[in-house]
Amino acid sequence: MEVFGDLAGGFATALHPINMAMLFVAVVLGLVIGVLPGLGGTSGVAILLPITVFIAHGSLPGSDTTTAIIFLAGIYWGALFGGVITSILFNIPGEPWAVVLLFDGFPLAKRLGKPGLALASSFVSSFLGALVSTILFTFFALPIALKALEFGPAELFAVFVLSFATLIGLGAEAPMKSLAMLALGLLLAAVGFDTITGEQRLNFGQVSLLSGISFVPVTIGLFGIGEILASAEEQGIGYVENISAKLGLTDVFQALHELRKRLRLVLSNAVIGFFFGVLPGHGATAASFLGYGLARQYSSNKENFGRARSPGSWGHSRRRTPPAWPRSFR
Amino acid sequence: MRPYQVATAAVIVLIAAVAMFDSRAAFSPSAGTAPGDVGARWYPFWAAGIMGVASVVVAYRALTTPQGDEGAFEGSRSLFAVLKLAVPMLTYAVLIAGIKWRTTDFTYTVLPSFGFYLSTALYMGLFAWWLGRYKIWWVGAIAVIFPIVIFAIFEIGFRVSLPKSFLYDSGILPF
Repeated sequence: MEVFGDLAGGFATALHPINMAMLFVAVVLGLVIGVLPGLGGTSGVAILLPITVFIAHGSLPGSDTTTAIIFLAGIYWGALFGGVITSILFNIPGEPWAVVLLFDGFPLAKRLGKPGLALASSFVSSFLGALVSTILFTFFALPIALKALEFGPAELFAVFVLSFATLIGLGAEAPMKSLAMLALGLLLAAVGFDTITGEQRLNFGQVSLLSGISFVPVTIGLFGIGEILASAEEQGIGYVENISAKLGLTDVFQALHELRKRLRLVLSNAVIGFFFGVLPGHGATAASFLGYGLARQYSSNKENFGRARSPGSWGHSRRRTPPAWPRSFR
Repeated sequence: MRPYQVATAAVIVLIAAVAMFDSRAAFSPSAGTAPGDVGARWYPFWAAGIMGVASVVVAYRALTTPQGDEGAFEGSRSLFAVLKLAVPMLTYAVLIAGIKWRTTDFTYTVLPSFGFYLSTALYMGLFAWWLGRYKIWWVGAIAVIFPIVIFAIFEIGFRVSLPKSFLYDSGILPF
């Protein structure tokens, strides 16, 4: 029951006016950072770290180190939500685990013209996922973390094989194309120094390739520029895709209604996301693909998946956020 | 779609071949059977192998199954629309670094490097004038102010050094 006492204490601290105010500022800043392609939670926290030093020194009335921690958490979560916005509206994933959101989120926003619903669905399911993982985290963090330490390279490899298999299964139309692109992604990741042996791989004598090819240039190049060229091809030059995304209350209510219909899916994926998030390594990405696969597998309308219906965005978000919790506290 | 599918598959097979060739050194047929046998290049070798085989299958299926008539581009208009964006983009990337040809005792400069700031000014100016059809003073303002703001933020504020132009080397410009 000690947990409840701690929890009440935590709420009392968090609800302090200065903490709430800084949380609000942090979430807005985080959203701004998250919307910029390539900058996600981790880089957002790094960029805004100097401000937290300022806060932690008590430069604001009533602020202390706890306020700084709350501020950091706010930036991290805000940036995660910001990444969702670019995925849904621009088809550019901000983080590796937001890639799955492109499959359904963008089509829902563009083809069905419901960007508000896509965003609201994603936010609402992320919120629920976060809530579930926070509850699990509060009560079972220690036993699960101890169990997670037993997760070795072999188990992690198995998890990734499983999620890659899911990914290939998702591209049901042309599994071979998915397989080829998956291998291309692995190859791009292999460029530079091997992290285990320190050997140089695939750098062809170029010093600039030694540090490898990071995720951001690849996503901007493949998704961002690809999207620009594709819209130029479809609409003619100079055309700017104008998805007006006014998030109205109707969208939120519709999203909540959809959430009620898919509560079991969201909850089960939240739990999956939590377990993956506790695991060391990049659990979130694997979890996001597995969650999407699960959503697709249990959908009554598999054919329409990836063709602008909202279940996909449901599937993805709940898994995206839960891993964030354990990650941010690891 | 057939020629496009086959051409894409061929390019991917070529990439796979280059990657497999680069990784051949550490590959041994007994890899994995003895301790320390699996080198750093074992994994890229097989990833490239899988990619190559999958692309061959894709090409084979594109050739043997009936394909729709439509191409990747809807007529020459859309092809030109894509080229109008893609060519300046590639030129921009080339301008930043310039083209140099190194021999053992001399480096020939085919195209001097314009660096990030000058290239950005040219690129943004071109698009504002050509595609945006802005008034000429707006074009000038965009081309001049934007790179200067980036310079102020990155070089002066964050002290992040971005590629400089040949005019920086000769001391004429600060970027």
